[in-house]
Amino acid sequence: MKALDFGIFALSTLLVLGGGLGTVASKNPIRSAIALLVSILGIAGMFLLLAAEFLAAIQVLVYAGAVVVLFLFVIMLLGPAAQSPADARSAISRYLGAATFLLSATGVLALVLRATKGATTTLATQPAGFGTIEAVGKELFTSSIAPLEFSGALLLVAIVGAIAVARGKQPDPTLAVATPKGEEPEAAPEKAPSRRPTPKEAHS
Amino acid sequence: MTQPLDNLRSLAYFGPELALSGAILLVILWDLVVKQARVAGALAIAFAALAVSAGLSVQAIVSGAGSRGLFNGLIAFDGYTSLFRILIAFVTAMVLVFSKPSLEEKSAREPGEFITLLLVLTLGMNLMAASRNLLMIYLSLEMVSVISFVLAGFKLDDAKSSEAALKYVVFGGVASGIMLYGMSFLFGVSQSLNLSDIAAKTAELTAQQGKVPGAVFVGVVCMMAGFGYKISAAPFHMWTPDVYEGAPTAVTAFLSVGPKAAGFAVMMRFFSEALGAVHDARIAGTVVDAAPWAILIGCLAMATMTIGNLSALGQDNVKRMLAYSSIAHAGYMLLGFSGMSKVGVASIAFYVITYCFMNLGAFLVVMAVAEQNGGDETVGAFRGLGRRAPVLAIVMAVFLFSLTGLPPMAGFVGKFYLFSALLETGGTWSWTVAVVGVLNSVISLFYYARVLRVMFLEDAVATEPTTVRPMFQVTSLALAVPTLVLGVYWSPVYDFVVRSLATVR
Repeated sequence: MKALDFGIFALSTLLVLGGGLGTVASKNPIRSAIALLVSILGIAGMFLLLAAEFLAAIQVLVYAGAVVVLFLFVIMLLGPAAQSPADARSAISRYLGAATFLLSATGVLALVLRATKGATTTLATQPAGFGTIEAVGKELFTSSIAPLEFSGALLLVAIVGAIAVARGKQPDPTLAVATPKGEEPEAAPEKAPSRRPTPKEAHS
Repeated sequence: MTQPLDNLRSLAYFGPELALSGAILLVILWDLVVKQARVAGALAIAFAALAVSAGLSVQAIVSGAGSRGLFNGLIAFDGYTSLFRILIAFVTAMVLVFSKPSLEEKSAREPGEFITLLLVLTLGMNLMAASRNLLMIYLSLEMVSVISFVLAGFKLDDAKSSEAALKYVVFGGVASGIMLYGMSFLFGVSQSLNLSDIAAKTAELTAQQGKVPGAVFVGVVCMMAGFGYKISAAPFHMWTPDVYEGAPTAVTAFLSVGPKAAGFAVMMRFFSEALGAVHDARIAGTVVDAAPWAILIGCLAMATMTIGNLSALGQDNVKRMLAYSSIAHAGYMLLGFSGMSKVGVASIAFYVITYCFMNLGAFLVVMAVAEQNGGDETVGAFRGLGRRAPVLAIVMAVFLFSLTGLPPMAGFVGKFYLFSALLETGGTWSWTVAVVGVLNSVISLFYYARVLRVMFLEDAVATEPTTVRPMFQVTSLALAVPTLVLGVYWSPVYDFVVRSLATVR
């Protein structure tokens, strides 16, 4: 049983790390999205290992099923050949970024090592059935009904906000016949500000 | 001690939020159905809901309604929440007044949506001030963030506005990601999302190990990313200048006060309820107990003040300058909290009140001046304002003096309470932080005085008096009067603040 556990752990870890590396390293955005999918599947495996089967299922359904597909949609809309703009930053700021990252990574590592060295805190075992669909559902609809409602409200207003921002950017598609090219202006203005290196960025 | 109420019985104490939620739905419906007086009607609904929210909260404080945990202890009903509710309702109402003229124009974009989103923001900020559970803290913070992104990008034809929104989204995503990571540490240690359970577990482990456990420390530091982002404290302040400059000025005024106040509310509640770090002042030994947090907050305060003030010096755009000034003010408020005392909490609540008058006022004047000069928001647009629009110029002078913290303005009294709350705890550390704070106040005089000099001592190209909307004059005067009055006669307001905070735990 131990060997099986370790096997699943090793497999998920490899998936997560390999997928993460692939997401960052590959030049083609579609490859990145697929690598992200692999990484997400690995995380689902870790949840399974922790006996959180509900979370594992949700991870696959929502993230692998919906979110990554959405990413792919956006990439396809922009055109799979869409290249990220050339990095306009100077070598100094890149090295500075790398140095900051290394410094903070070492800091975090030191903190983690220090925390593991002293007295370890063993977490209490959870009652049987913790994290199953029944338990989550019962929690959601009894004691946590308020957060559930608020997340519903949050999603509603996010939709209202998205429509308020998106509407008026292009001619109403219900009035005019939308050409396939018509989608491009919608995405382009969103992207444009991030690409344009402004003189202000030096100040901020 | 507070007793938790079940879901149904909680609704009786949930009036302000229910009123706001009802108003949000009503405004959406009104905007869809009614053709005549669309904006006026929607504004009336919004003002009514805000009045109900503030009125119920005043009543709760005055009648001493005590403290309750709503929805099984997820949300607090106490004087602290009520105080911030009143403040937030006031800020929203002021911003609605600011944006009324532009909403009523024919070319106005989606006025109904704008009002709806502003009301949702108010609801989210109310919940931020009331959350006593990590899940609720996260949800309410997200509610405020998501709507702020939309409002920052509300000027679609303006590239700067879109840039502001995008930067805000990227920074917001990173900050809330880091905060969630921190929350996972706290949940791992205490196995509960309730702040009081976390406090109990942390106290137990601290007593066992003789120091705050490393996991809790890392968790709190990560959570500071989320809080720091909301109050625009360094090093999470990067978004502030761009967003404040790019967003419509009414939205900027709102973002500089509302979410900042709510951010402080949720941060102070987190430290006091989840870490038990906030004590009555002048108890020997407590400062040592709270040491890591006092030093953490003190460092953040010093960095925030210094970065804000030094960057503001070179700014030519007044909105951008006020953005850096608002970062500096977040630093002053953190300074009041770094003493980790209940007096500090009261002093911050009082400072937020004074800050809301003076900062809203300053942005209103910028809005009026920019409107006269075809959208020019640079210092040059203020040239000769003392001659061309004396009322606006004098009112602006009041706000800027108050922001500097000169007597007899409200800002001075607010700052006085912040510094005295810090020094009451005593010790070398407090004095160090306080000295840095005083030096920063001196620096801030330079950039505020620059606007004053341009307004009164430099001649404009055109000398004829400008016509300013009467609404701008009346509203800016209405904000200047409390700024002056609170500078000489502040005790009723301060007493009200202290009284409302007395019911907390």
